Amino acid sequence: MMESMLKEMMRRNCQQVFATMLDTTIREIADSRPTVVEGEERVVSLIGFGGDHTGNCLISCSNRLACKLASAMFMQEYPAVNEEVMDAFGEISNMVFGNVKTDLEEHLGPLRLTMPSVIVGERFNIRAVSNPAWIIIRFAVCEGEEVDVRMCVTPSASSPQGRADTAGRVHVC
Amino acid sequence: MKLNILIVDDSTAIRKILLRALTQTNLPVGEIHEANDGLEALSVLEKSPVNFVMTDINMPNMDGFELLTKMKSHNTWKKFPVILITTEGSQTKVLEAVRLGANGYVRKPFTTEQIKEKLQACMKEMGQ
Repeated sequence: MMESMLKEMMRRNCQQVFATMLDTTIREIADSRPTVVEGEERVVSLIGFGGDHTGNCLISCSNRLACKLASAMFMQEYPAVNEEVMDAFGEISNMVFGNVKTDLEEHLGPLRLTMPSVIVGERFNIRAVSNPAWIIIRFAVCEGEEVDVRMCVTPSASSPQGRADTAGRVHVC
Repeated sequence: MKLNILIVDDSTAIRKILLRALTQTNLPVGEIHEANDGLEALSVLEKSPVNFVMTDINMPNMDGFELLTKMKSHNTWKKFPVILITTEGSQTKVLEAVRLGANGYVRKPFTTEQIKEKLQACMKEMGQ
């Protein structure tokens, strides 16, 4: 039940943010396996959260798409990823997961988000150490480009549910 | 009367979007100032002819609620309309904003039209 509920929150808020701020319609792709294109540089925006539940969220896409999204947000062209493109991508993730957090709080109680951390590079893996598997949904955006949206949630040790491992640590390798 | 607006948000992206939205409203917008958080906003309010504030809630150093509280306890600043622009949408937060005296509340993501409507509503309250 939690997974389907989270997916619905992620889906609805992604579609709303892309439609409202970027004037872009996104379509969920049925296959939720992450796409990795050899040699492709990607942008990832990573946000942590805590409270009675802890976890991580991320949005990821190719550099090309990140530039297009920044162009849509700021109404100017970006031929390559720079600080403004990273700011735009961080803000997209902030709006999506900020709203997911508001929705989740109705079920899980107060939660706090960290500021987004935006990473650019290729051939890296992201793993949430001691957290359950990612819940993943993917969207087709435009011209064959896709965006990957992930979240993992687990009760904190301090929560009434009381799991052993309290902190969702992220290890980038 | 021109609206001299202070945009308070730790996101440079949001400040940039709001800056563009404000210039597209066709409302009498004068000077636009920016601040990264509530503490910086207080410094801008001391020095600049601001008469309208748009602020996020969750910011480092000083959040939007604390900024709003400080403004409402200041003889001059308490008259300035304050609109909160935030992803926070829980009833608790909205009620807190109302209790502290916010004049409007806009959820992110937002459209230029939504910003314009809130500004117009505030201007009407100000008697313009």
